Parts: sequence; C-alpha cells; structure tokens
Amino acid sequence: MLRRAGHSLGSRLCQRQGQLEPAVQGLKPSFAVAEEAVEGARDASTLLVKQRMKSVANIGKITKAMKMVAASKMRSAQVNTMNSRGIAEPLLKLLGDLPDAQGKKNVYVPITSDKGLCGGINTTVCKYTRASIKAEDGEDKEHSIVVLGEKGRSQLQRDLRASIHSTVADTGKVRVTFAQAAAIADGINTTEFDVARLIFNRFHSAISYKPTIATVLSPDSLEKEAEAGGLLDQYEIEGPDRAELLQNLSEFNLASTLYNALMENNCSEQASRMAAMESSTKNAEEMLGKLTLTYNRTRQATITTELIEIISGATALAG
Amino acid sequence: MPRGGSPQRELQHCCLPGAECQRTEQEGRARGFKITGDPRKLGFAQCHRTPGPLHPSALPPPVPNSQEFLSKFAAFQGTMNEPEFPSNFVKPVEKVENASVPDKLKFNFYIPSAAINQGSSVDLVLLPATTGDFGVMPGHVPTVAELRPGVVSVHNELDKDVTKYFVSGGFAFIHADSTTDVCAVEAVPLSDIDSDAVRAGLAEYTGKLASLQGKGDDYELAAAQAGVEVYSALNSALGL
Repeated sequence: MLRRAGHSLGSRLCQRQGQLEPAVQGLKPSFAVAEEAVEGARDASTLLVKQRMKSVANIGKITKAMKMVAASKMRSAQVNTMNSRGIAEPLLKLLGDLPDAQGKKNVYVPITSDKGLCGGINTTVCKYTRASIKAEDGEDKEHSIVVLGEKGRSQLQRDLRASIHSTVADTGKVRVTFAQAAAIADGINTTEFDVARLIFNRFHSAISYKPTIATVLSPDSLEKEAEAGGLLDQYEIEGPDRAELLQNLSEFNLASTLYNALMENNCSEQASRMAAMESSTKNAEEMLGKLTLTYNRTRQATITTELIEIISGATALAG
Repeated sequence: MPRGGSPQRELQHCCLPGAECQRTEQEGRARGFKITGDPRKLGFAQCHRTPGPLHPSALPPPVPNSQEFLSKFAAFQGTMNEPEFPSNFVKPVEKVENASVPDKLKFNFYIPSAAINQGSSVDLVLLPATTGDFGVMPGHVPTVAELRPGVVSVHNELDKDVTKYFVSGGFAFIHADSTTDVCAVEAVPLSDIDSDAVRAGLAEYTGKLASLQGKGDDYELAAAQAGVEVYSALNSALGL
C-alpha cells in the first residue's frame, strides 16, 4: 500500500516539477509517464464512487449542523412557548372552547412554517385543514382560508386556491411578538368571520407535537353562545357597553390565541426539524459506510487484476 | 410478544403520569397491544401496556361541545388521529359546592411573554378599569373588566407588601371562586420606568395631538390620542 502511495506521490511530484520548469518537461523520466497512465486507469473506476462519498459526507456534515442549530433554537423556543400559554388560558376558561359552534362565514387559519426540511408537520396541518373544511362545509356556509407560512400556501393552493383569502409569510423571521399576532389578527378580522379555526401543532415534547384546532368566535357568535347558556352571562360587565366589550374581548381572544399558536408551532417546527436532520445524518453515515465498502472492494479488485496481469506477463517472459 | 385482546378494547395511554406515548393509537389500532419495553430503561416514554387500571391523570378530560365536530370530522379522517382541542390540556376546575368566601384571592397575572403571578395568594388587587379604578378582594362579584393604561397594585399583604405594575391595557376576569385572572398586553414594574422618558414622551404626543387637530386622518389622530392617554397615565402613576 505504502509503496504504491509512494509511487503515485513520486509521479505527481514529477508532474508538478514538469509544470514549474517547462524546459525540463520534455525530459520527464519515462517511468513517471508510465506511472501516470496506470494511475489514471486505476482511478477511473473508483472516481465516481469517491465523488459520491465526498458529497454524501458533506451532506452528513450539513444535516448535523442543522440539527444542532434546530436543537438550540428549540430549547429557547420551548421556554417562550410555555410562557405564552398563560395569556390564552383565562380566555379559554371564560369563553369556553366551542369546536361545535356553527356560523355562516368560517375562516380557517392553518399555521405552517416558511422553511422546509422540517419533517411532516406542515403536511399534517394542511391535511387537518382540508378535512375540517370538508367536515364543516354545508349549504349557505362560506369558508375562506388565511394561510400563515409559505409551506402551507404552496400545499393548499393546489386544490383550494379559490378559498385562500390571504397569506402571511416571514412570521418567525426576526421574532414572534404579540404586536405581530395582533396585526395578523386584524387582517383575519377583515374577513368578517363568524367562526375562526386555527390549526397548528401544539408542542408537547421534543418527539411529540399534536395537531390542534382552536376555535375563536366573533362577537355576534359569542353573544349567541352566551344567550344559549354560556358562562359569560354569569359575569358583571365593567367596561363600555356590552357590544363594545364583547368586540374587544373577541379581538383580544383572537390575538392571544394566535400568539400562543404561533409560538407552539414555531417550537414544534424546530423539534421536527431536529428529528428530521437527525435521521438524515444517520442515513448519510449509513450510506457513506456502504459506499466505503464498495470503494474498497473496487480498488482491491483493480489492484488484484493488475497484479495478475504483471505476474502472468512475467511468467510468460520467464518461461 | 403477547397479542392484545379483542380489537374493541379501549385503547389507552401510557400509565406513567406525565408521560407522552407517541404511537399509542396508531400502533394499537394496527397491531393490538404490545409491550415494547420498560420505559425507565429506555429513557423515553414509548410503552404500550395491556390495559390495566388507568392512572387518573392519563385520562384526557372530555371536551364538551366537540362531539358534533368530531363526528363530522370522522367522515374525512382517514388515517389521521383525532384533532386535539386547547381545552384538552386545561386542568378542569373542581367545582366546590357551597364554598365559603376564601381568605385570600387566587391571583393570576399574565402577559404574552410570561406569567408574572400564577396562583399567588393575595389580599387585594387594585385594577384600572375603563370605568374607573376598583379593588378586588375575596368574595367579589364575578366580573369581566376591560383595563385602561394604568397601575395594577398587588397587595400580597394588605398595605404591607405591595407591588405595582404599569399595564398598557387588557382584561381582568374575576370568577365566582375568587380566582382573578388579569391578562395584560404589557406590564412593567413601576420601578423600571424612566421619568425623563415619560416627560419627553408626554410632551411629544401632546404636541403631535395639538398639531393634528382638525386635520390629519383618523388613524394618526387616534394614534396621537392613545399616546397622550398612555403617557398621561404613566405620568400620574409616577406621581410627576
């Protein structure tokens, strides 16, 4: 092995020297030329495999780095997500979670990511959105979709393009803030919905994120539910008149639920990306192992063939 | 591997409290029950036990008002699991019959980025509602109040241990069992506010409002008015 390496090094050195001193080029020793020819012939069969190995190794490095980045982002996102659950909960307890609520105008808000390579979470959200739309579809009911995230848009526009009211992208680019959620909520309010359904992945742990549907009602629907015996009737209203308070309450509810949903989905995205990149890295390592075996096998076969040729040639000359 | 019983048996979650079983329903539906390993040894919660007495915390509390939706959803569900609802994860409040007025108020104070108080026992909370300031003590009538920019005073002990926060607005809910939830968009302790910045801000927005009188579109006018309101409230909160 080492001798062969020495030979190839020798031939390469000769070649380089030849390049540096053009005057000497024509006087290259003949054995070096022969060496190069043999080297080239040997390399050709293993070259492709070697290139493949290099690219697979690079892929493994990249996915490993992406995994570590996603893991660190997930850690900080987890803290923020747990903190964001506080503001949505009292409203949920007061106004109730009413997935059965019926309304004429239904708006669906699937929350997805902008970047890919994050596993199946975006497809999951889109599947649940499609199923919910079909489930709640009926006569004299309208539905529209406000998509958050590029990945959701590209998936939903294939069959639901007519229903998409608007898309919001780059939500997590700098940082998710309540002001951002409030601005998006304002945009959703322009659809003048009766019932809004937010579909997102709720973060449970690094391996578990469950698709969740949060229902937010418009002030009129809230009033209807309250009259039907909801909790709201038992409370004294301290504020502007009931209609205005219900309106503010409904808008605040949408904004805080949306803020919580954005944080949860962001955290789930990072966790899912971490898992996806982990399996990618493992696959790349596995593939690299297999390719190395193939490479070595090919290389050894070529050497053996060479040796056989040399020996049989020598035997023929001798005998 | 012992195969589970009849497919009609209830599929159940992992019995370990607080554990998340990832593939309970899918695996269960496809293959019946299977013991895949001791989760303590595996280091993560992936275990399917044959149904036994359930740990009470493993049962999801039933969500009222979702049966119709789920039944409609089932038609298009395919291989998906049932969707979760946010109220699945909220601990149900135990209804106490004929409870007397408790000594202390259970106080929750939330802002989007944190929970400033969670389940703290306090004597009194002063809230700045749009209709005027009012105080909440145990036994207060159930109320929904909209808050204006102002000071929320939390008296952990009446007049002895007082923490004051400036809130930019939000809502307060006082429930029948003397639990008070305050949801604010922004809340800062008064000690963190810079009086110079407040004076400068008030002057700026008063000037803006004066220059916009009569002209300027509604949005700018409203923004200037909101600015004046918040800074005046800050001003009076700091006692300037």
